[in-house]
This record gives sequence, C-alpha cells and structure tokens, in this order.
Amino acid sequence: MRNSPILSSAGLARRGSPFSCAPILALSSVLFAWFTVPLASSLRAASVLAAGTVISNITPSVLPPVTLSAQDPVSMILVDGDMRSDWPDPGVVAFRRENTKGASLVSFALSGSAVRNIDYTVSAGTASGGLLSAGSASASNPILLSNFVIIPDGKREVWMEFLPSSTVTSSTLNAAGNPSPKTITVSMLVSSIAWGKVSTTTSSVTLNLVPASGKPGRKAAVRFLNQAAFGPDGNLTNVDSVSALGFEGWIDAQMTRPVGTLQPYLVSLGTAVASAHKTTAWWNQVMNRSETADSLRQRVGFALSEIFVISDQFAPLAARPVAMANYYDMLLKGAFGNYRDLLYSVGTHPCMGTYLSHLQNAKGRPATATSSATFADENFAREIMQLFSIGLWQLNADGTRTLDAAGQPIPTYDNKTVGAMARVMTGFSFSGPKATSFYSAPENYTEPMRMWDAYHDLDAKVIISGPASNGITLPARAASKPDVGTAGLADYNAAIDALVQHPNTAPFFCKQLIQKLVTSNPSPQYVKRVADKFVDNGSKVRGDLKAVVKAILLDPEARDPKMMANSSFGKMKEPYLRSVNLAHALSAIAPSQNFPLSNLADIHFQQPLSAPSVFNFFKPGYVPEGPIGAAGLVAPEFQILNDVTALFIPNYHLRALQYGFNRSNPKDSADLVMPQLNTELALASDVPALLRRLDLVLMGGSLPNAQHQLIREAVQGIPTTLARWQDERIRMAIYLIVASPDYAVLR
Amino acid sequence: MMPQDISRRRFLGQVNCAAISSLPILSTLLNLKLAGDAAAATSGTQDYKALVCLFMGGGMDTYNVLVPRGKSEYAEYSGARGAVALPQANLLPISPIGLSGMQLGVHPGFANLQSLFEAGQAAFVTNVGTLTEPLTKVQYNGTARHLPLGLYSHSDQQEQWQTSTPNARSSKGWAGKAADLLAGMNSKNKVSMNVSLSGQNIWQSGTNAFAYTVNTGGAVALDGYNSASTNATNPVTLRTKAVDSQLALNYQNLIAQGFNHSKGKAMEAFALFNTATAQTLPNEAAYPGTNLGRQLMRVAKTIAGRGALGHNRQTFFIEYGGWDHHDNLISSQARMIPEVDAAIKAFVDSLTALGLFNNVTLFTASDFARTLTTDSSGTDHAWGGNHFVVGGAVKGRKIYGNYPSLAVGGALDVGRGRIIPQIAVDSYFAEMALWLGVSRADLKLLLPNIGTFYAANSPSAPLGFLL
Repeated sequence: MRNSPILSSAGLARRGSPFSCAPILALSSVLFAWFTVPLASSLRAASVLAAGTVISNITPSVLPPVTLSAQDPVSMILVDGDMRSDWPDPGVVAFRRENTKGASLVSFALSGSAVRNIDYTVSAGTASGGLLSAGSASASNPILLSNFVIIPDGKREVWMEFLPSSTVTSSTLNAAGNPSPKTITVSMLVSSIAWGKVSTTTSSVTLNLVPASGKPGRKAAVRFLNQAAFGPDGNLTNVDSVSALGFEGWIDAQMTRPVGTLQPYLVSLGTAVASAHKTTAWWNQVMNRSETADSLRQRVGFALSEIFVISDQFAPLAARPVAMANYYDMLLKGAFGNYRDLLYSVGTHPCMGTYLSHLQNAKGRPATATSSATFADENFAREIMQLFSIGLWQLNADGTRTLDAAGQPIPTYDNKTVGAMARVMTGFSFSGPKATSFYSAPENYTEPMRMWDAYHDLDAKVIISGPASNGITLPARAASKPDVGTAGLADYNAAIDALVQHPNTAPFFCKQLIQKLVTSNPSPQYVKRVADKFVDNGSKVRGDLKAVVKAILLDPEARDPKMMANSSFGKMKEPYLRSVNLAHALSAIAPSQNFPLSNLADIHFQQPLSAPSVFNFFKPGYVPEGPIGAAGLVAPEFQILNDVTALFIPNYHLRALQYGFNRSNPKDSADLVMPQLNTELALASDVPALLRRLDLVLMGGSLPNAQHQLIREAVQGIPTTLARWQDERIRMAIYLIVASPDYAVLR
Repeated sequence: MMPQDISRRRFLGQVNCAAISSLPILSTLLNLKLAGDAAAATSGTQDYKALVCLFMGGGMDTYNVLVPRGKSEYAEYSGARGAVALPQANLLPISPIGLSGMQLGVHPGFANLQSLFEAGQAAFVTNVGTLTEPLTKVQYNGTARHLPLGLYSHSDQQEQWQTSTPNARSSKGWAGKAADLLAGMNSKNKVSMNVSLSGQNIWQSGTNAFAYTVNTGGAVALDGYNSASTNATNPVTLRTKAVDSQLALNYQNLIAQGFNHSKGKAMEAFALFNTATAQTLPNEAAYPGTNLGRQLMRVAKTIAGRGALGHNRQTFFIEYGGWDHHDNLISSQARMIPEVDAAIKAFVDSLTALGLFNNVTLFTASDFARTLTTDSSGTDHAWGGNHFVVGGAVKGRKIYGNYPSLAVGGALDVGRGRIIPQIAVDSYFAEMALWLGVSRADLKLLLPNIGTFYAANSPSAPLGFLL
C-alpha cells in the first residue's frame, strides 16, 4: 500500500466537494490524546488527508478543540457502487449518524481485488454550507486517515469517494469477454474506541470497478442519450444498446432506421383529425421504445423544427394538422440528408408558404390608373436569410462575428437584398393535377408548391448584395411555354445555392444545432470543427447533415467527461424535453399505446410546432439575468424559464407521478399515460438502492452527494406505517431528483 | 457632474445581482430612496405612478388606426392603400386641439378610444419609430447616415422598441433600466416593480431589474410545498424541507446556478404577490372575457395591491400579438381592434373607481407600422407609425407630431409607403420616463441616444403629452 496521495480533483470538483477550498483540520486535543496510542503509527505514516494534504507531524496546537460525540450508532450507506476506469465518476460510501453534536470516529478496512492508490484513490467530503437538513453548517471537514474517518462536529454524514484510476486492468474475463470488474469492499469495524459505535445493520458494502472495455459504460451512455435522444428508457434497453454498439456504432445504426413519420397517424383518423392530434403523433414517435425506434432522427428533427419554424399559433396552419405533420415529416426525412435539399424543401412546402406568406405571392406591378402599385411579399425572403441560412451578421468560420475596423459587427445583407430575394420568391402556388392556374389551384398541402413563371418576377436581380459579399446577379429570364415554372425555379435554385454556399451558413447553422443538442456556449473551436464537416464531409460534399450530426455528438467537447466539471458547459434541458425525458425514464405508457398529451403548452411555454413566432420559443443569443448573464454566457432556454414555468413544471411532474402525464383525466381511461414504477416500487424499503437506481436512470450517476443525502433523508422520513408508503417514497425520490437544478441541466 | 455620470454608467453596466446593496452609495439614487420612503410613509396615492405598455406584436398597421378623414387627405390615403383602405364613412371622427389643414378619424373598432380622446384622456403620437438620428429621404437613399439595425425585421424592431438603442443590440430595456434606478422608491422589491403578463421581455430587463411574470390567474404556487406543515412524517413537510435544502445548496455549474436562482425567485415572489393582489375590483364583472381583458384585469388588481407589494412605481408589459397582417388586414383588424378597445375601457373604469386614473398611463408600442401599399389583402413590414397614450395625466385630445403625407412617393416614403419617422421612439419614451420619476440627468442612462433628439436640460418637454 502506498501512502503518497495521488488524488485527482476531477471527480470531487463536480460533486461540489468542500475540498476545492483549503481544508481546515478539526481534531481536538482531547481526540488527539485518544489518538496517541492507537493511531500514532498511522499518523507518522503520512496518511492521506483532504486534497492531498499530508500530515506528518500533527501537534495538538494546530487543531481547534472539538467535543467528542456521545455513542452514536454509525451506519454505512452505499451511495454509488459503479465505477469504471474510463469514467471519472467516483464510487461513494456514506457514513451516517443521527446526531450532529461532537465528532465521531469511524474505523474501516478496505479489501477486495482493487488496490488502493493503484486502482483507485480515496478522499472524503461532507455537505458544505447550506445543507439545512444536516444541522448547522460547520467549518470542520471530515478527516480521512488510512483506516479512520472522522465525522466532524455539526455534520450528520461523511462521504468517502473512490476515484477510479484510468489504468485499471484485469486479467480475468467475464462471460461477455470483457475484463472482469475489480472490487472494493468497505467494512466498518467495531471500534475499541468509546465513541463512534458501529451499527450492526450494514457493516460492509462492495463497489465494482470495471476496467475500460473500449465501449461506453452505462453512465456514459445515459449522458450520451440525453444529448442524442430523449434520455434513457426505464428498462435501460437503449442504454445497453449504446454500450454494446459504442457511440459511433449507435449513431450509424440509428441513421439506417426507418423514419418514424407523423402523418400516417393523422390520416388514419380521417375527418376526425384535429390540431391536437399532431402533438399526439409527435409524442407517439418520440416515445417509441421498440427495436426500430429512430430516436436520434426524432431528436434532430425536433431541433430542426425549432430552426425552420412553422407554428400552429398561426390560425391557417392550426386548421391543417395533416399539412403540418407532412412538414414535420419532411424535416425528419431531411435530418440525415443534405442541408441544400432541406432548405429547398422548406422553402417550397405549402406550410412554410402559408406561414411566411410566399404562397401565391405574385410579382409586384406598377400603379395603373385604376389600381395602386403592388410589391412582392418580403416575409419569407427575409427569414430564409436571417433565420434559416446566413443570419444577420457576418461570421468567421468558428461562428464568432467578423468585426469592422471600428470593432462593430458587419451586416450580412441590407434591405435591397431582401427586396431582390422577395422577387425570387414570387410565383409559387399549390401544385397537383388540378392546379391549372396560379390563384385558383385547389389546396394541396402535402406536395411541394409549384412555380408559375407568369407570376414570377423574371427581371434580373442582385441577391446577397449586402456589404458582406460580392453580389450574385440572377439574369433576366424568359417564361417557359407552356408555363411549367422553369424560369422561376431557376431563380429559386440559384438563390438556394447562393445561401448554401455563403460562408456564414456552415457556422450559423452548426452552432445552433450544437446549442440545441449539447451546450449553450460551445467553444469557437468546437463550432469550427463541426462547421468544417458541413463544408466538406470528407468526400467533398457540402451540407451533409449525417456528417454534421456525427461531428456534433462525437466531438471531444461533447464526449469528454471532464467537461461535466466545467462550470460554463452544458445547457438547460428544454422544458418540454425535460418532461419527455421523464416519461422515458419512468417507462410511461397508456393502455391505448397513444400519448394524447396535446395541451401542455402553457405549462412549458413550449409545444412542438407551436412557437409564438418564426423566432422559435427562445433565441440562440438569449442572456438571462442572474449568474449566467453575469458570467457573460447565453442560455437560450432560459427565455422560457420564468416565474410561471419555474413552478408550473415541477407541479406538472408532481401530478404526473401520481395521476399520469395527461393534463387532466382523459375521456377514455385507455388514454391515461401512467409511469410504470414496478422496478422502483420493489426498492421502496431499501432507500439507498432506490436512489442508486434513480441516480442511474435519471442522472447517469451524477447526482451530487449533497442531493443524495437530502433526498434520502426526505424519502426515509416517510414511515412504513403511512398508507401507501411505497408510492409516497418513490414519488418523493423522483420528484426531488427531477426538481433539482442538477436534473434540469444537461452537461 | 462628469465623473459622477461615468461612475454611474459603469455601475449600470457592470454591477451584478450580489451588488444590489450598493445602490444607495449613489447620491441621486439615495435621494430617490429617501423620497420614496417618505412617500411610502405618507401612504395615499399622490406618489404612485405606473406605466402600462401594450405591445402590439407583429407590427400593427397603425395607418388604419389613426386615419385621414378630410376629402383630400382621405383621397391620398385611399390612393395609397387600395384594397386595404377603410371606407371614409366608417371612420370615427375625432377633433384634436390645434390640428389644422386636415381631419382625422380612428378605426371604427375604437369607439371607446374615440370617447377617451374627445374627453381629453387620450392622445396620439404620430409617425413615431426607431431612428439613430433625424433622417430625410435623400439621406436614407444615400450612404452617409446610419439606419437602425435590422430595419423592417420583426425581432430587431421589437427589440429596439424596447431598448431604444437601434444602433446596437442590447438585452436591456428602458423600463428595466428605469427600475434599476427607481427601485429605491419602493418600500419593498421582493416582487419586481416590473410585472409582465407576457413572460420575460427586454423592455423590463435591466442590470438588476427583470420582469416578474404572472398569468391572468395571478402568480404560480409550488404544489406540495407548505412551510406551515409541521408533522415530521407528513410528505408535505418532508418535501418542503428538501426543496428548501435544494435551494440553499451551492451549485458549481453556472446553468444550474441560474436554474436555482430562477426557482427561488419564483417561490419568494409568489407568496407576496398573490396575497397582495387578491382583492376584487369594483367593476370586475364588466371586463370582457378576452385574454387581453383578463390580462388588464390582473394589471388593475396588481395596481390595487401596490401597498402590500410596497410599490410606489410599477410598469406592466402585455404583448398582444397577431398583427403581422400580410393577408386579410381589414377583416383581422375588424376582429382584433374592438377587443383592444373593450379591454382598455374596463381598465380605465377600474382605475377611475380606484381613484388612480391620474396615476397610471397606458401606451401602445409595436414592431413597426406597415407599408401603405398592399400586396393583395395585406401589408408588409414598414417603419414609422401612430401610437396612443391613455390616462388621467395625459394632456389629451391632441396629436403629437405632424401626421405624414400618405401619398405614395411622398416626401417621407422610402418605397411602398414605408414612412420615415419624424419622432424617434427615444422622445416618446423620454416623456414617460421623466413622468415616472427618472431624473433628467439619468435620462441618457435609459435612452443612450436621447441627446440626438432632445436636450435633457431643455425647459420644454420631449413631446408634451405628459409633462
């Protein structure tokens, strides 16, 4: 056994351990007197202290006085027993007593196949200031000696953290051919010392330390699925699938899966179809947990629907749910296609034509004796540039703004460009066999719009003409005869090409997708690495979204677990997706297999295809007041976290746990979407085991120790004499984890 | 004065939440606070003032709100508007003091506004919009002058109508900055003096100030949480204690900190707000059942609860969206304007019954006005437009500013009937900020470009509708 401390701070820092501050020693002279005989040799052996402090010559004079505790029973709790050498999440054991007055000394022994200071290191921590349930805060820290740990005055618990070494190897293989786990067994010893009496209920626990296998472990897989999908399923099937295939293998498999479209469900309802059904169809797809579930496509498709926004807040679209589902399906299909095809399709979809009013947008005409002049509608022309492709400001390849000599950002285009682009966007109307004229074509919302040269502005135009770049001139064109829209489409194609080729498009689009999937404040380097893949997927193809999605999710900034300890990394989970994640983790299902959850918009200030405007529910650059804004960071999702949603959402979750995810009881009880909590119910009497299960499926094992302690105390506080105590306990545990800031943040 | 101004600007720009206690170190702010405390001690209504911003989201076509009615000016109007012109006979006539050479009317849906105007309790500000500097058409077509960023774009113009800084992007609005300065006038600031019925918004966001967002039912409680629950084994007691512990924990991640901050703020504010605003209004039954009606009712209740909230100054934000009428302008406005009119009537009646009509000013704002010309049944994004203010403090029955010529290709038309504003939003806002209690010296902290349009030490008012 080596005594030289080799503590890494990575695992500690992200649990908010007090050891990031200078440790304050708290041994009393009285205590020290007790130590002199039994512990003198340990002290002289330079035992490990917090944050790597080595004590070689303790003298009573450096230690503040501590009153020794009465004979408190101390119990041992396994907080987290899953460790992997490729994941810096420590195993955690808590030593707990019910009183907080005076200090307690706990004597332990470590055994098992893993070797301390080679396979893992040990440190100790306790709740830092503010943990109300642990008694008054104290400046004292626990002191960890080689075989003793001291619970300081004022503290109820001390946590021992076991940080895995990154180089654990094992010579034996398990049935799957992977190296067998090593074990750490912590045994509490009945001390000969008069205080710190050991409880007989739990006298030893065992942690597993798994050597790296080259494939992600469950904790890593949960974290990945929170970014790339809708989080882990309650039965962990998708988690184990990621572990088996690896991140890239899972992405590749997802990309070959059939598209889970929305439209067929709506069509199946015939004339009974209503606006709300498209939300049901959406939920049915994102909650698909079958062997063929296309979760990655659904997740990326949802992100795209928040960039290429259409909304049923616009009444003409609310009345056409099949059309909106068709639009959404187009985004799903395009999610792993090429950006150019996607942009082209977005612009020619009748829903977008209706939403941004370029459907039946005729070219302008000069004033006559009897009528005023008219002009091409500029709505779509403006937004396809501002929101869907190049943005308002010239960007560098890493997404930062290009600045002029005065340090000011440079506009990408001016209003003349918008006017020219508006003329490009003239001449579109419904298509189909009965579309015999521009104005009287019958509604056809499920096929792309067609072009009429007769209503298209055929004159020459200069597009993308702002100070950003050299103008691109579209020549005057001759109308096709018969009118099949050839000339107009040539303009449209040229405009789409110009936008796709614009240097802004790659960083503008990629940064937004990163913000939606991984982190609100990606580094410029991360943006550039992804944007470079947009520019060239490796095979000289521009706009390959498969390559972009892969680059986003496999980037070191997304995958490196060290980023979890970076205080500005991550994002708030979108409020609506927080509820979707919860439904996944709790295996929610209705007997009808449908998810008729269409009226949750005012709870979340969010609902698919229902943004207040083309600017989505929140803007990519939103800066909230409070600590985030003070640190100079953006946090887009905070635009819809306000004094209403901050409380409405936990209220909804509290209700969902007991009465189902429906806003109110459905007319047909077969539509009641209930969480399936059998796994949790079986653990109601073993609260630490219940929390370990929930920590994995809800938090990927990252629940901080202080949360673990306060939640355990609340859950354990529900007596087994209370009616339906098992239900009360699991609801309390889930509610408190999900209500915590740690759950709200994806990192 | 100079050093003090600089330090104050730095203060506004750099201070964070933790430094809020340093507010009184600034002498003018300290004086304001003392004045506010004195006012709070005397109770009553003489030092209560509130601004209500009714933001017409989407870009309201305000040339169909305040409309030329006389023969020649109507001809000009109808010539430009074509299919989106209101019939001359349907316009509700108004008789502005001091208006010569033309006649004006209001949209037929604004019958109550017409009455308020004629009674001297409402006024219009005409051709107001975002400007970085006064501008002619020649200058617009040249390149020397600076134009507002993102002119004609919804997001930019909505932002600038709230920040009053069309030359830069900002996440702070002038009501937010006003609240940073005026919060000391309130005896309590647990609930922000800036109350929003429409979620977070830039207008009410300052360095410290933010919008307290409520809905028509009031503030939101956290269910299953009750500090009065004492039975140690009751799940409510246990949950309450745990939630309090979660709020008290330190979070290393900034996004988590931000989340915790938002939740704690929501819980604290709830308790105070709902108690303070529970009273029934004298004319509660008379409010229309529209969302806007319910929103203005909640504003009136909050005004009635100002004493318990400890507020001597309040601002309210309501966004009423859906004015982006690229199509069906006439029929859409015919449906929406009477809703606005009826809700304002009920609100005014509440204030009168509370004896506070002189203490509250309601004003309208919007992204922009719309093109005079049409693309068929709708109109497109434009620029300067007409807005109205309502309240007992308003010097009403007047049109502030010169109603522009609506001739296509006229002196201010930069194309399609996009009219260059002749009054900057800065002047419109300065009038209200000064009325609310912002000092002349502090005006430029709220409205950085105000000096371009109005000298803060001028003996006259920016526009004169309140001062």
